[in-house]
Amino acid sequence: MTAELLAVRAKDFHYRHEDGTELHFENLDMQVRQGEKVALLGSNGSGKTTLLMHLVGLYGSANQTGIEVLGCHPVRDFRRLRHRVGTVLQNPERQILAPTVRDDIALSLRSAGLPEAQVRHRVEELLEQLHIKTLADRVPHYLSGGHKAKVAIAGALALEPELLVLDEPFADIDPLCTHDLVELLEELNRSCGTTIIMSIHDVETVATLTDTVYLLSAGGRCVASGTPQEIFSQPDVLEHCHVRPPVLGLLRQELLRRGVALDLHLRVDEAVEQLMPLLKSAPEDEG
Amino acid sequence: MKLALIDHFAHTGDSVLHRLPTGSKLIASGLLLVAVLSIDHILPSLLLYAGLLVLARASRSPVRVLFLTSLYPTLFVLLMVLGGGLSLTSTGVLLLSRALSSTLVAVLLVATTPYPELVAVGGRWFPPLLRQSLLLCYRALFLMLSLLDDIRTALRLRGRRNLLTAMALFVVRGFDLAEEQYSVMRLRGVDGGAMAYNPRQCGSAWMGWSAVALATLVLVGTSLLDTLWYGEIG
Repeated sequence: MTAELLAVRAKDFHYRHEDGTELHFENLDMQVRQGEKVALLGSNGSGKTTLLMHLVGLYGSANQTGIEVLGCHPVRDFRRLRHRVGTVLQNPERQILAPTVRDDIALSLRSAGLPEAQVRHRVEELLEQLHIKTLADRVPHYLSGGHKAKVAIAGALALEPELLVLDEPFADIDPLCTHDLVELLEELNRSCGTTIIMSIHDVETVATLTDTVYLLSAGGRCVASGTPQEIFSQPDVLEHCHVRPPVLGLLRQELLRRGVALDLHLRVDEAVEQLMPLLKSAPEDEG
Repeated sequence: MKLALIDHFAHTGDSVLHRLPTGSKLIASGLLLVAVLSIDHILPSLLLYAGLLVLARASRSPVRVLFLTSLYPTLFVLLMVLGGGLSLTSTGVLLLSRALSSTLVAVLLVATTPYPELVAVGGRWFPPLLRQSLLLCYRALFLMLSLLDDIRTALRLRGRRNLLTAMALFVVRGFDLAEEQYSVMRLRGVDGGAMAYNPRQCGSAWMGWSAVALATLVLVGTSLLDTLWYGEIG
């Protein structure tokens, strides 16, 4: 893996919060390729948000070593990275600053000094892309949770960032809206090659959306990393990190316990393909 | 004070008052304020107040909420009137009436015009930094109101209604919120020159000029009435 192709690199580090809580990100060897979709999985207090805040440059110091984002130091090159990294925080409502949806999406574009005509064009594009055109002139505090998340994502995408950092983007959002957002992120990743790193609790989404998972245990230790299949095939490790496997993983575990060995498939269509022959043959065997 | 509710009326209302151009509304409100403050007698003053209540009704916003909101500053005037021993004098009643009318004018303005609109139009002559700050204040205010609501709910659910506890929590969490907002501004690259608001499409210019003409008529009418009243009594 060459250095030029890496969007993010993070090695073991240590962080102490103001309240004295310490996180030791040990055994961490995060190497995120450009265009990769990565999930940070772990229980509360495992340091997912802290790790993300280091990546966007809000935590850590200028002397810190071991973290590199798009070839830059996240703290020292903070201003330079602002145009290249889009961030959505845990509570999207709190990152909407402007009086209306349209003006909020335009905020980073105007900050970057883009001509007003270009700002308007890009805002219209994003409104269309996120299906929030009807909300353009609405005031943020009267929007639903899902819409606020979409507005926050639109704001983060305004400058067409190479890297999108999302801190629990699907929290407080209903399943239908989550599905919409997952599709949107997949589309962005496909069409623009945007690298996505997110902390997440929803294992079902992890299973379908991400390429790589980093599993953190309490205190920040990275206990496993790999593809979702690799991670969700380790029930003991998941349990140690207080993470419940996705439903299809649980089904496989239960079948395994009953003596039916199957490969782990995390997409419903793939799992059905695998199960259908077994289901078809079952009545004949009994008969 | 039901600030969130009033803001909601301002954004969702569809009355003639809502559709008036913001600039005209600002001028008309200014003229009405001059009328309120230039009246020296009780009857014209009360008549003007009644007129403003009719206007509040015409805004299709709940008059009760507008009326109750307009009472807040009036309470201070009431204290002053009582403290000065003016409670039963015509001066005391006139002062109260003026306070009621002037605050109702202001409440009517903000209940029919979104705050960012007022800042964008009325703040044209402000220094850019002040205009930016005023626009940023809008979201910050609602985030603070939401925080205060959360604290109040949490305290009530835990059987505590202590105002001091609520305020102490609000101050402490307010600092956290301020820090968080600063981080967000840094992350989004806000450097003080990016905050903008595009005023919405309002009614036609003739509607605006009609409102200004009407307010001028009210000013002249109340002044005349006041002078006539003064003449008769005098």
